[in-house]
Amino acid sequence: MARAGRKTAVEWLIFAVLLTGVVLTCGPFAWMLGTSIKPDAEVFQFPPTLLTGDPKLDNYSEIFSAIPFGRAFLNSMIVCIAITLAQLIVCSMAAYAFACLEFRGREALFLIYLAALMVPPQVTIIPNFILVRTLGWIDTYQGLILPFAFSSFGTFLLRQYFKTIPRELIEAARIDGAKHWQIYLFIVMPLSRAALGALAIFAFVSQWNNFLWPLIATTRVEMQTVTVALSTLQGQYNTDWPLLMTGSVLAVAPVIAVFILGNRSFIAGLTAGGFGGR
Amino acid sequence: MNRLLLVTAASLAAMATSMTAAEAQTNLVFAYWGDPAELPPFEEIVSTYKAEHPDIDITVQHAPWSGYFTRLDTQLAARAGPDVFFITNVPSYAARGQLEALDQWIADSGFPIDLYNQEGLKSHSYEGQLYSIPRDSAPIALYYNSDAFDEAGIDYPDESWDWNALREAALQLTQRDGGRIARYGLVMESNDWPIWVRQNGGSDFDDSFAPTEYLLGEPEAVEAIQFIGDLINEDQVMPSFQESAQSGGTTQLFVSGQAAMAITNAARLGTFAEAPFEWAVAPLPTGPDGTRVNRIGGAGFGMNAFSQNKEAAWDFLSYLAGEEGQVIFASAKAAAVPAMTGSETVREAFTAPFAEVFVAESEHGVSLPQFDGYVDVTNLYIQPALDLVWSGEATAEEALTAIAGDVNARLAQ
Repeated sequence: MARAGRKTAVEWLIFAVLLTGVVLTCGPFAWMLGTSIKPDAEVFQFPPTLLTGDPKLDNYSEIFSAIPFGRAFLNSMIVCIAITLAQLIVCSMAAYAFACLEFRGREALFLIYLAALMVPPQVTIIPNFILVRTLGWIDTYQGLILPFAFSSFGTFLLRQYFKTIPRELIEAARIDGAKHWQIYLFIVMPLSRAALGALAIFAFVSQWNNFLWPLIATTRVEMQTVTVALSTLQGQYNTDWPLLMTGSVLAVAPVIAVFILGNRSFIAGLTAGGFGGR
Repeated sequence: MNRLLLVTAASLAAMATSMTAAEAQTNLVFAYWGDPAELPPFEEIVSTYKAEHPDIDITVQHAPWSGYFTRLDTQLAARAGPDVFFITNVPSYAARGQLEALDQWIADSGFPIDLYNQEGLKSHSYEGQLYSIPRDSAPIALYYNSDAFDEAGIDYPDESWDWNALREAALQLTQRDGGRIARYGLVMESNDWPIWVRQNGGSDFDDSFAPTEYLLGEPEAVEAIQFIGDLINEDQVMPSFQESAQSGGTTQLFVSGQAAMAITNAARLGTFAEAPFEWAVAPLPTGPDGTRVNRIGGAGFGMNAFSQNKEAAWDFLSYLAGEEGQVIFASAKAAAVPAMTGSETVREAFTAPFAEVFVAESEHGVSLPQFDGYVDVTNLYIQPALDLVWSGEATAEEALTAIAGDVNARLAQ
């Protein structure tokens, strides 16, 4: 009895710690949601209110007239889905080569490839800009998508996962006369759904949040992504917080949707890939 | 077969003519930042100019303040970017050779540069050359909540106010609720302290553009910084700058009634219009001996040194920054205090509320330091020292004299 009682106490403790984590994580979201329907004067009121007594929902229609939010949302969707698909294809093919093909210098090449992880993205901004501009791709979807079509993180994640697939399966397929593209497509890919799902979420979310490149690679309002469009609400002297938070609520919706849909494979993929810290 | 050839030839010819028509038109790119409320005058100038110059097409690139310079810096680093752009912090761009020097263009076209606030031109120059034409001066003034003054039974601020009058009023206007301050007497911007130093007869350096000596350790400067520090920590009539930033800044604190007076620039006129109380604008209080000093600066318009169409770019720039543009900016709803104060037309067009206060203040404007290494000196030494004073951890004298050796060594480099 005593033992069972202590176990409950420990459970309560864990529960309390986890609850603190939940509050800390959800607090900003709650504030965002609450602020999006507050009157302007109540935003920084003290003591702060979480919910206003005088909710105004007009912000949810005003956001579409204040900035071209609908168009920006569509742009973000197009760009993020395209980048996600591109990374899934490019990274899985590269990972297949690094994991399943035998060739000279493979490990050295992979190390160089991994070194790209160490290059901070800011360093590549100007060369990328010059390249994309020379190609005449400023203000185009390809200019927004292609610089992110490959990812060394994604390749690494998938290579680690592909390595865990039993060699016997691949060898059996080869004995049956399967070509590499068949092994890749019919054996490796279907067995790696968890890792592919994780990469898809990771790529989608990080691109959805990407601000620097879409800011630089677009100059026309019609090509802005959600992050850039929302930043126009934050002025030099004045910020319309309720409207900005309204936009933010709408902007996080797809991310939350993607995460809920792929949650299981996201966590499974990250632990299986041995990249839990990232 | 022959018919087909003819059709092809005809369509080729048609393409050729349409191509020459397109080539005859000059394309200019014009970039600017601004909050949504500030954009109409930019758009009006572009459309008016295009209507008068059908051979010139202008593409506009707008970015919010937060992202504008990130994009511009990248474009300029790639030797690309807009032909004409809205710009601040001119010397650092000029030093990198990214801005076209304007003196020759001004001389050749007879542009009336004499009509501009001459002190204001200094911060748009680098090594004796002018690199941008200022759009506005950005003087600050004292906004006050008239209702709060009536309630406390104090006279409204006027041009006779000095630091002590300001402090007295702030003490009376501050409302304390136990340990908490329900309403501060005053709030100001974190980067306006150099004005206070100058009002007290001090300075930060011996020369704002080619400094050789650091002067914030001198008694006049120390006294001014200590005065601000005391408003925060001793009198507790003003929030610390960090607290102010976390509460939405000067704008939010004043509009929500959490600060009874605010010292800030004319860009706030629009936002404060929505405040649920009566308010007005008074001149900036003077130093203890009556010295009037205000800040000047503001943003201007420059030309890309790599522009392919400099002739057209100058023509548009001189319209944008000249009398036509100044009138449009001065009469806009979110007006900027015009830089071309020598022009009667521009002064008459500036009819914003309290316009006369801001124009008068801009006459007392002085240029603040701008030199290579200023950002380094500020970030490494001056700002950390000031933060110690603002937080009450050190007196102004301790903090500002302690860094003198380091700053002077950095200036000597």
